[in-house]
Amino acid sequence: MEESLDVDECLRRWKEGSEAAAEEIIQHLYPVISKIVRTHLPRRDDEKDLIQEILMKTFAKLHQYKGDAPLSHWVSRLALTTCLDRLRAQKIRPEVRHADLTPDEVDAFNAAWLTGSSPDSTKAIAARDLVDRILSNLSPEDRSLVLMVDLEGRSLQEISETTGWTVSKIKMRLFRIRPQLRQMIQRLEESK
Amino acid sequence: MNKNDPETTWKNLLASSASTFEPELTPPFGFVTNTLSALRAEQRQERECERIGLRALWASLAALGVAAAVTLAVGLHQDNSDLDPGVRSLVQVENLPYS
Repeated sequence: MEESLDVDECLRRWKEGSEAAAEEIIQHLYPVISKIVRTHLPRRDDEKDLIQEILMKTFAKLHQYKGDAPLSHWVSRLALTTCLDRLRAQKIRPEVRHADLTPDEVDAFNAAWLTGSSPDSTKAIAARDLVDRILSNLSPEDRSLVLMVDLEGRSLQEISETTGWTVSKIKMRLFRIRPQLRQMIQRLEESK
Repeated sequence: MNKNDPETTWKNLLASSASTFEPELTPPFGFVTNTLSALRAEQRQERECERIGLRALWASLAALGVAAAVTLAVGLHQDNSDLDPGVRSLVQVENLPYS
């Protein structure tokens, strides 16, 4: 993605006050930030506002960018930190129970729970809402970590570079989160 | 019907919801314009703050300069002795020599 834009040239023009350069930077960073916001925040959050907030922060701190890592990596970290801050400000929901699920969420859960049924993409939104419900019981950092590993399939080293956490800290967290997740899903089934 | 273990259930749920995690590749209509205008407003505000700060700095420097000049002038105007004011008046009245 970095190749599609001459970042140094664009930054130089932006520092000289070129609005066209700012527009190019926004266009270039939009999918990167959108991916992070969609992954790390619950579906119902207003992502456009948050993407704009992250872009404003990016421009405000752009003078600190040294160019030793790709701009998208640098912005990813900023975006992730902003998402985690937003999650911390939200209330932790009480434990999820089967009775709280919507009919679509129940269908999505049953499709995932019963063997022989393949993932149903027509129930994507319901499945996502259920994923968000389950993850809302974890801390913001744990939530993001689970998604980086289970959804994006990122390596521990990559996660370490993005979050600034050490690999051993990530391992420890994962070791602690797995039983919690298992328990939540088990309880969801048992509370039917 | 048999049931999956929680780990597989979780993976299935993620697989079902995968499409909702897909990023938007291009900004929606009006987004770039809004962001650029917010950026302009923020830069304007920043410049304004800088200008106010600079003015305040110059004003306090000027006040400091005036205060220094007044102190210096008063110091020069006074007799250049280290006597107390009362003793200095007595010396002046009596026209006594002192060193």
